[in-house]
Amino acid sequence: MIAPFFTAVQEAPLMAENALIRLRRGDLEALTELIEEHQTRLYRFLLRLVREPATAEDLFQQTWIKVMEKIRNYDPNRDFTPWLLTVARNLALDHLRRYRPESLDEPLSSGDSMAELLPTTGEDQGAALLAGERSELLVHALHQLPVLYREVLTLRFEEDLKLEEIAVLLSIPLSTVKSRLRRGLESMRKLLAPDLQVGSHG
Amino acid sequence: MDKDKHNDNNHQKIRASLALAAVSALEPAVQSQVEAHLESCEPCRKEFSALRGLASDLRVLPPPVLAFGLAQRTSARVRAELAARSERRRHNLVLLMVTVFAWIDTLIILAIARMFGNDIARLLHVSDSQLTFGFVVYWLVAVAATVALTGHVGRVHRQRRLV
Repeated sequence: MIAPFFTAVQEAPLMAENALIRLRRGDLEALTELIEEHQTRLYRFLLRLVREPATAEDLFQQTWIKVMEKIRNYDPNRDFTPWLLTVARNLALDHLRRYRPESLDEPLSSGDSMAELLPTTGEDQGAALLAGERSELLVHALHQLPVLYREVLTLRFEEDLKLEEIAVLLSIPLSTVKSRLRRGLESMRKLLAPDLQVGSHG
Repeated sequence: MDKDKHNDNNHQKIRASLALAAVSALEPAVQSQVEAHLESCEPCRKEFSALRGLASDLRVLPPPVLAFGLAQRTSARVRAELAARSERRRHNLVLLMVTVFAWIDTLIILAIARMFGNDIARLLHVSDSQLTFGFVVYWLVAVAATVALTGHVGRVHRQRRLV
């Protein structure tokens, strides 16, 4: 079931494989190549977890320092991206535990609706979704979720990982991934448009 | 009455599955059940559509803007960190060698004192107790020098960490 995930390295670009091999040999030029290749995904993932650009950038740099520490332990038969994201996640969660005393599965910070912040939705709702304002609201709503839901949502939808891959990355059962995905989506739905919620049947 | 209750239970069960159905994360059989229910339930259909729209929105969120020169800054920081660690390792090695040297030195002095103490005392025209005192002073100076060197290396490390 998870086998395709681990064989994904065969589909990875040749350049990335070469860079990884060179990095394991201690070639620091390969590091710059890898950073440039993975910077968007890694920074976005960290930003979703910690929500502050400055902190995300610091953790981004710490992640690569940690990568250099652990690169000899990295199994080249595994896909690099999930391994990289796991390293980043561990650092981010350590940071959150240290600087945010509340639990990682904290309830929503408020029960406030964001519906009043949404742009007016009309016939061109589909087009409006592409507008920056709408995106900002989505990101804002995403950032209101507990980190355990945020990470599953961003890994599934932004990083486009399969649920099985997310389960491996987070070291949790598939059923827990699904549960967090469901709760995350439902929470976002409530935050974004409670007025569109449907009452009980009949 | 029972039929209504059954329908309501089924509806609640389906509603709890809508989010996963909207992202096709259910088992095929359950997914089919949900889809069949949607055909006859307008509220669930609306909710399903909204959830599916939300998932689509999340997929097309624009990536955050990267700070200018992030890759270069990161690469430079990693190189600096690796260089600092390499230097720390070198310092630790030097410290280890000095400590080992101090111990070897101490053991050699003790051995010389036991084997040739009397001859040395005669040669230097000093008493046994004076010679012993001299060895002890020498040993204390060696230990103090090692401790001082250890402290100095530790301070340097702390300063570098603060920088």
